[in-house]
Amino acid sequence: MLTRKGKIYSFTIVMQPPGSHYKGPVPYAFGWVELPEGVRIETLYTGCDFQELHIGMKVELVIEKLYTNDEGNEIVCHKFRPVKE
Amino acid sequence: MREVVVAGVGICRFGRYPDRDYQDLGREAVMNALKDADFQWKGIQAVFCANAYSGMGVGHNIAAQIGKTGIPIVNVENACSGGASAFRLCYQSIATGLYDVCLAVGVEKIPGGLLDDTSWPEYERDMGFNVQPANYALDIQRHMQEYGSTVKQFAMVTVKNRKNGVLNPYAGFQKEVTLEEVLDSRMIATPLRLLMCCANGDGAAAAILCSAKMLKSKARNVTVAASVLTSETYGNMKGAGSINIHNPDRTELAAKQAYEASGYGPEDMDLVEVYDTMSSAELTSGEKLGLCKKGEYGHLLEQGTFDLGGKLPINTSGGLMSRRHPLSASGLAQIAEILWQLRGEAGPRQVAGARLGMAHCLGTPGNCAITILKK
Repeated sequence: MLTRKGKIYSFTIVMQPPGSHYKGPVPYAFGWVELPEGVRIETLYTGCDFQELHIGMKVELVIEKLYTNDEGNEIVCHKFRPVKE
Repeated sequence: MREVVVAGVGICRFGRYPDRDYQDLGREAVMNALKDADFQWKGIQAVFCANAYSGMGVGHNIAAQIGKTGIPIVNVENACSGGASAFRLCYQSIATGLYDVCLAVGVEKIPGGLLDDTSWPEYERDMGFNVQPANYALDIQRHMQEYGSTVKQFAMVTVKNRKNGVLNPYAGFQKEVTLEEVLDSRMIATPLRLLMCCANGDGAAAAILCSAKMLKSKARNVTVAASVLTSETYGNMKGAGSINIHNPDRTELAAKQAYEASGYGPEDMDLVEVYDTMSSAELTSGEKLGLCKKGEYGHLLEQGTFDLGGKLPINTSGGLMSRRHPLSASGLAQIAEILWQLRGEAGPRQVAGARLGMAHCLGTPGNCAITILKK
C-alpha cells in the first residue's frame, strides 16, 4: 500500500478548454505528486484555490467526481488536495 | 554506410488553407524540392511521407498528384517528429545502398486550439492530462524551481524567434512581438501564455536525399553527418514512475548519439534549430543538447548569445513560434533552414560562414529526432 499523503513535485493550472475529449470543468489544475515511497504520480488537484498550489506543498489523496456521463452516472477519479494543518 | 547528401528542400508556407486539400499542399512542397534539387519526379526511387491527421494513404495521394511511377511509398506517423523520421528513413535507405534518391515529405491540415493528443490513455484524456502546453508547463515549473529560470526568459525566446521569423519568407507569422505583448497575452497553462505556445497550422515540407554520385552540383554539397531518433526512457517524461531512476532523457540520449555519429560536439555548431513548440522548451532542450550548462540558457539568452549575430544563433528560421506548426511537416522545415544556411542562401538571416548545423525536434508521447548537416 502506498501512503495517501505526498508533496507536489510540479503543477499547472489549465485556463483554456482542452480537446473535445476532456469532460471536467475549466480551469483545472494537475501535475505530479511525489509519495514518500519514491513514486511520482500524475493527478488532478482539488480542494483549494489553485493559486495556492506550489512545489513542495503537502497534499493528500481523495476520490472525487470528474464528470457525469450521458447515462447520468458520476465518473470519479483520483485527485490530491492540500493537507489541512 | 555510404555518404548521404541533401539534394534539395521545398516548403509550402505554413498557414491556414481552408480552400486547399493536403494533396495540394504536399504537391507544392514536393515540386519546390524537385526544383531546388534539379531532379525530376521519375528519378525518385522511394517516398516516405509523414502525416498524423489525414488518415490512410497520404503519401500515395500526394504522389498521385505528380505521377504514378510505381515506386514504394511508406506512410510514417511519428507525431511532431514525423518529418524528421521520414528524413531518417530516406537517410537509412541511401546510406545502406538500397536506393540512390529518396523523398521525405511531411504534410498536415489540422484544427486550431489545443490539440486533443490521442497518444495518451483514454482515462488520462478524460482527466485532461493530454494538453501539450500543460505538460511543458510542468517541466518548466521544475526548471524554475531547480535553476531559477524566469518567465521573462522564456518570454524572450518568443521575442527572439518572432524577430527572426520576420526575415523568413516561409514563416507563417512575419511580425515581431514585444516582451510586453508576450507577458500580457492570455494564460493557457501556468506559467505559459498564448504567445509562448506555437500556433498550429496547415502546410507541407519536403526534402530530397541522394547518394553523393547523384548530386547535380558539387558546389551545393551538404551531407548528413547524423540522423538519429530516440524514444523516452524510464524515469523521464511526465515525471512518472520511481524518483530513484535516473536515465538520460530522449533529447539527451539523441544528442549523445548524434554527436558520436557525426564526430562533432555542441561547441562545433554554427546554428541550431531547437524545438520551440513552447518557448520554454527551447530553454530546457537547449541545455539538454549541451549548448550550455544546465541552468545557463536563460542567462545566455539575455546576453544575446542565441540571437542572430550572436555566438550561437538558435532558431534562425523563427522556429515553430514564427513558422506555425503543422506537426509532421515541422521537422523537415527545420532541416530546410539548416540546408539553406549551410548553402549560404538564407538571405537577411544568413549566419556568416555556417558550415555545421543541427535540427532537434520532439514528438508525443515521447520521441526525439536530431539531424546534423555538414557543408
